[in-house]
Amino acid sequence: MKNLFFHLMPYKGLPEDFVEKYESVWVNIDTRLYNPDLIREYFHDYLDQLKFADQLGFDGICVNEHHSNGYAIMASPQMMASILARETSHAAIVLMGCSIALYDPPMRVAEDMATIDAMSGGRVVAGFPMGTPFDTCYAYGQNPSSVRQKYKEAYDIIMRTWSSDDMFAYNGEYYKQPFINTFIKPKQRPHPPIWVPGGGSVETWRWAAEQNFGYGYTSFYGALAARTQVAGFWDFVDQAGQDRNPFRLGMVQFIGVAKNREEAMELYREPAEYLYNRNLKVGARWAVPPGYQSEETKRMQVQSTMQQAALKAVGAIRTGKLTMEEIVERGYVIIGSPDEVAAQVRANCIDLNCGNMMALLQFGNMRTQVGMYNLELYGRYVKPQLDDLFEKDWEHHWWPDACRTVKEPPAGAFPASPVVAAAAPVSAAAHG
Amino acid sequence: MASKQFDVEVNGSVIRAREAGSGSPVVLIYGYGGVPHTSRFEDALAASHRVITIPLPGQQGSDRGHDKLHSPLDWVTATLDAIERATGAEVPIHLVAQSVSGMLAGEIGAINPSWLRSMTLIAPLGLYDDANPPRNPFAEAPPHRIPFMTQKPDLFKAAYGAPETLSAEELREHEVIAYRADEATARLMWPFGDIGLKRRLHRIKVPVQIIWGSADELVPPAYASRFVEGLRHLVEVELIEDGGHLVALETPERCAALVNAFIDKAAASAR
Repeated sequence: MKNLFFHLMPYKGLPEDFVEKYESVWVNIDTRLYNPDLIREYFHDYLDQLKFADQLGFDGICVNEHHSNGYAIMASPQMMASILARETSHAAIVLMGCSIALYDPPMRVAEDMATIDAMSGGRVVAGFPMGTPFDTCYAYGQNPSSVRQKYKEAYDIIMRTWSSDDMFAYNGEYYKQPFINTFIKPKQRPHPPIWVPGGGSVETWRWAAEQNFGYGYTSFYGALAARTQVAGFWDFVDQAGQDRNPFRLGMVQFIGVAKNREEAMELYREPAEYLYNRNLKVGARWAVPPGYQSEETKRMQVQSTMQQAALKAVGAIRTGKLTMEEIVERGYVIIGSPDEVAAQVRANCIDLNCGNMMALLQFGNMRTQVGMYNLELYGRYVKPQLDDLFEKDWEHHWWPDACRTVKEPPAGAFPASPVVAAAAPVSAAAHG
Repeated sequence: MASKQFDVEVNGSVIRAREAGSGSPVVLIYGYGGVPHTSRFEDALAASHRVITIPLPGQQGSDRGHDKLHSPLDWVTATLDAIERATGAEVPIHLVAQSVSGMLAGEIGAINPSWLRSMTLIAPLGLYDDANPPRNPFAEAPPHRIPFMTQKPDLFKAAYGAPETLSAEELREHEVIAYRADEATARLMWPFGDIGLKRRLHRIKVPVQIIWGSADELVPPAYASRFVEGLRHLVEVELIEDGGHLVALETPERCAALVNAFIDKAAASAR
């Protein structure tokens, strides 16, 4: 299976009383909380971590897009990916992804991704999410009823831009462009592998299944909550007459690896509680603009008691009361020794038939050194226990050819625990 | 009051109109929330006039016709089609439009003034003041939207809530239909800016009545004077004290009396 390092690039500077004093970390986040010096430090640290993941042999490194957001400060995945195209040499650069309906003309997205693919020697996975309602409808003002139609047009333009050798005109309802003729094409022809990130909407399952794309399930609530959603995706794969190749599916998972479980609890308690109780304090009013979900999805939610229960569970998270024990018990964050984590991830991936683990190893307000430790332990000791999963029986059709070789992690001793290491933060000045 | 329902094809989709009363046609178009299953306002209008109620595509009684509407011009022409077919092309009409439909009514008056005898706009959207913008009701979680519409949630529930006689399956479908109506509103209005009606208001040539609740929290009543500035024509403004955005829901008989009187006066002056 593929092990990827997924970076949200969280903002670590939310105050302790964030839950009490502020409504939401997203859309109407109070920008007075923004500290440019911290942001400078974070971006450099996070890019260093992504580069480190490449050195450790992670199969892929993931960047993504959010707006007006305090748990994910990366507004442009292409911007980060372009840096990684130069700074890394092995891992697939997985854009998970770019909300293509936000850009006019979408040809710009095609050019950006083609440039990154060319620069990186064909290592791009192109993720095309419809985008969350928070980002698309509120932060970027897109119409929730038509954003999916706009998305489909943007997708058409990008794919034709990549695959056509001739200039063409496009006359859609939302995009009209008479002379499309990008000179820059991806190295991967006709185009990089396509993944569609999604959070459980019926139409995204259908779209991914019918188009034979990879599907990345991007919930933050672990394998248990993912089970219903992922089952829905596989049902649509069946209906589309496709095989149940596990490499069709990826999922994100917060993970904390340590010497043992006790150390993991100590290292990851604060970041996990910060994550679920501050980073993910999201105003519910930004979640449900009418029309963003199709009637089909709405009907499914109304009819499904499990869906209702899941929605209530998410509501509970937003009260800001979760403890580390609850977070771990629910499987939102997997923690433990390398062997324990590998066993749990393996079991989850087999259960969900998931061939791409997108591990979130830097989360909440985790110190950068702890994140590096987590990365190193996962790369050195967890990933090698998972590399073989599904590989014998299935071929990964949604992966760049340039990234198929499994890279062994560099030799080295078990890293020193950051619990006892000096907790000197990496200063912004250190980055020149 | 007894009404008859009938289907009208618009742009390849179906909307369900209803008609009550007798006389020259008054076309009523609802706004936010869509078409209520009961309306004392509609009944009171129909006591004096032939009232033809048409939903916007996507509102209650319609299929997903709004999916095919991509631009404001699409919405205007779909509404014109609906009026033409629901009335049997019996124009000119008296047009009564509320909330988001008020914006469409304004556009119709500007584009096709010969179809109108008079127009009543009840808390219409369509204009935009940077210093005092209309509120996007969908920037609130569903349970918190109603207070911006009306301070009388019981009336809203009675008009739009599920009747107690529905089965569990019908209840679920009722929720989906209400969601569809909200989607149609969002599709028309999002992101709740304006589409340039202010540049066309002067083309409206018929008497216009504007009714506004003084406590409208969705579209501030100050917008009434903006309409007056733009219309440059005979305009009557009726401010209902303490009325919310859905003022005709809150004070149906009073609003209907104002509208009926206005229509009669406009008809008389036309003769």
